[in-house]
Amino acid sequence: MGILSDLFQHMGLGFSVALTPVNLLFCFIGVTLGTIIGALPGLGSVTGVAILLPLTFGMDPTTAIIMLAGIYYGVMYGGTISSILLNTPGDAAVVVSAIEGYPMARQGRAGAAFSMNALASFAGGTFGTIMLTAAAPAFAHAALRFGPPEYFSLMILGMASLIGLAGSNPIKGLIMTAFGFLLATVGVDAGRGVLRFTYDSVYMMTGINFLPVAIGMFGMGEVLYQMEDVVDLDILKTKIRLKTLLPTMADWVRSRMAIVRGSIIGFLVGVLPGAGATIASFLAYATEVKMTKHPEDIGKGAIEGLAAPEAANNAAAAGALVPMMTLGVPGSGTTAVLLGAFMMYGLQPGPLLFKDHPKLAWGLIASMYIGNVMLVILNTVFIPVFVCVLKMPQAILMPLILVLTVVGSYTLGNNMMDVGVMVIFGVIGYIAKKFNYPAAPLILGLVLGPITEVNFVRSASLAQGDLTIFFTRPLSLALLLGALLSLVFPLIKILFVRIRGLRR
Amino acid sequence: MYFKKGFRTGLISLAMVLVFAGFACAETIEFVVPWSAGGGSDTMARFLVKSIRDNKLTDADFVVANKPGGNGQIGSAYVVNKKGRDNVWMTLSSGQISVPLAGLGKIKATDFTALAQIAGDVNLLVVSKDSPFKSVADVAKAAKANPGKLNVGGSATAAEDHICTYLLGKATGTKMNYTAFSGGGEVMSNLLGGHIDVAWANPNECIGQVKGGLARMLAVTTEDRLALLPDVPSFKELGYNMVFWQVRGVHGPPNMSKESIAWSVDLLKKATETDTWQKEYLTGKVLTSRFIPGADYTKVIKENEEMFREALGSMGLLKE
Repeated sequence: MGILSDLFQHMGLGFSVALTPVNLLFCFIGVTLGTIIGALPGLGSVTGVAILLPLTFGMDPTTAIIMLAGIYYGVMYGGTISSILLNTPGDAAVVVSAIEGYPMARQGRAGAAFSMNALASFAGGTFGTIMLTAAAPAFAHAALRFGPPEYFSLMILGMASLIGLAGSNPIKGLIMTAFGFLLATVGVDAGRGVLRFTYDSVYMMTGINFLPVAIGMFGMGEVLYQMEDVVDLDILKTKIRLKTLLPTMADWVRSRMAIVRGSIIGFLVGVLPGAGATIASFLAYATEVKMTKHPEDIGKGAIEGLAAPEAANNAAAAGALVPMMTLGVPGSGTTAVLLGAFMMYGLQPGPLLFKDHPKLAWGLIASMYIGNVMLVILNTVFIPVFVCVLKMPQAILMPLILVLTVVGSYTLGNNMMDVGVMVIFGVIGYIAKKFNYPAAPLILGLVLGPITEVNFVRSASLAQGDLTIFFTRPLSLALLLGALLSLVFPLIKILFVRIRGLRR
Repeated sequence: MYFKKGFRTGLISLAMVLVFAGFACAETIEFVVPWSAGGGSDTMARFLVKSIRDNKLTDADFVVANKPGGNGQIGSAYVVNKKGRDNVWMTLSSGQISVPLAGLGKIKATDFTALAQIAGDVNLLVVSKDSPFKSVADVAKAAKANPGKLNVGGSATAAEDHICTYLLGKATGTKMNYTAFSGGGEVMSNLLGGHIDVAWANPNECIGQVKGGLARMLAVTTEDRLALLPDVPSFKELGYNMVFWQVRGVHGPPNMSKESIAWSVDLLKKATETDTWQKEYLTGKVLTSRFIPGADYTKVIKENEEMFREALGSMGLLKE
């Protein structure tokens, strides 16, 4: 009882702060800016928050933090817009949303994709916020049990699910995964700082950033593919009616559980200090690929494959605030910047934040409920506008996407190297598409590769070279067994089917 | 027709002259941070700009540009290419001195025009609240009992924390096992989770956890105790011969003009004397006030380079 009444008291305090006109206004400004920043390829949540941070100097810290957090989770909504419309992800966390979202748009179902994005995002974001409200400290302390061996095993589990991403031709999928892994080895190695494949170039030392690769493979590759034969799609000429803007009943049934799974995976992965919304969305998508009842639709506009990562990245954004607010350690790249913002206002996130600054802490959490409501309305109201973009003649839209891919990849790190990488992978993406090699496994290999490697090296270093560390730690062992199961399960299924066939 | 064309050309030229004049009046300084947003160097740059703006120290405007990657080498390469330009500044932290010595890049800290050191940062040896270690002596004893088994965590390879681990090993006559993480946040979560035994952290990376009772500071790398952390002993007073200061400074591109150097140094001096800088930045983030301009700063960099060279040489990481 005591806990519950405490909770109501805290939330009462929080809403009394969040509902003041000034805080409401800046929450709205934050989520709107977030949506716009997310929709622009290249400008992600990290850059967005960092750029707008100086503008908040002189503001009341609570108002400023409410706005900056609004930008953070607003990006998770907005980023998907360009993934669906242009096949060019607006932020790292929405890369997977392009895999199913863009084909949906090509089939004339952009409206349904946008509605699903808004609703799955809302569900995930609200679920994450509820968990943040109810049990933040408990989750934060549990997440600390994740050390390098556990991260390594989690990545192995993610990769085991990756086999499913290969689609109709597993060999081609594996080739692309291996390619992604090879690309991930470029740069300074994690253990001893050895230079690999850098050819004396300082730019190569950082390694190949996966965002320009994703923008190239998806965005530019698609433009090149379309250029072969520029035709205006008839399906896109259809009149915009409310019916075409909403998901069908069948869509809901398919996505219901995907949203639940995505929200849970997203929150849990988001809480982990060593993984953020990007990893969360990838793992949620991989899970959906395994769980779907319509495997034939994967990569061709399966709506559950859009709903799950959208729920996940929003839940993860709330989850990433858990270790930041309760322990003072960032849960993702953006929360690292937010942590810096807290400190600039003379606030110290950590165990004392809720005690010393209850108004700010609970005000921020309450504002996230409000912000999510604003975002779902904002993103639904503008769906007809987004869909209109698709009605543009292809001869205008395609060059426009090209410009965005170039500007977007430059904005990532303010250097031309990323543009070069984007162009090269645009060509590779085109060739891959021509010969039916899936792009998603390459991106996934490139995202998971470095994290897998660095945690392997750290585990080995912590155990002084004794690799049994992965099996002697219970959590790590459980994750590895899960990976084994997810690899063997499809084989057993095939075996059963065969045995049954033999009996007949 | 001819007249019209001439008129238009005239208008355009006039506009261009005005634009250039505008640029000349209110100069914009590009302040390059070769690390990502939110880190120690980035925070310093943004507070410096805030100190200059809030106190209206100059008409010139500042744009902070993060150019992260390659252990600071990408931003460094960008600034080296601005040779002779007067409107570029760059932040420098000790990592940029040690990284090229370890063979991770060609651009050295001495390649730039040294303007001034504007703050001093230190390292703290930290343990989690559940750790059996109550003092540096406990750590040294454990390290002696299990050579090479005590796990020390820090951010980055061949940078400050790695070198501090070596210095501590030398001072205590032990060998410890160093593991590099990416950034202070990761180091702290691995310390709190019990995956490493001890960790290195800058004061502002661990003060929140220490105040909240999740972690304890065992010792600081300065000669004497820090005024802001009066309860934390220094290694020196505990009888361990180790002192380590982390440099935080501002540099210009190579061959910066004499006038610009003088203007920049003067502005930096004024900025570091403001309340914004002293109270909000230095006190707020537990840094040490320190202003060393020009030639003396170059000397500091050279001394640091020598110290790193010796340490990395003994660690087998020197690759010049």
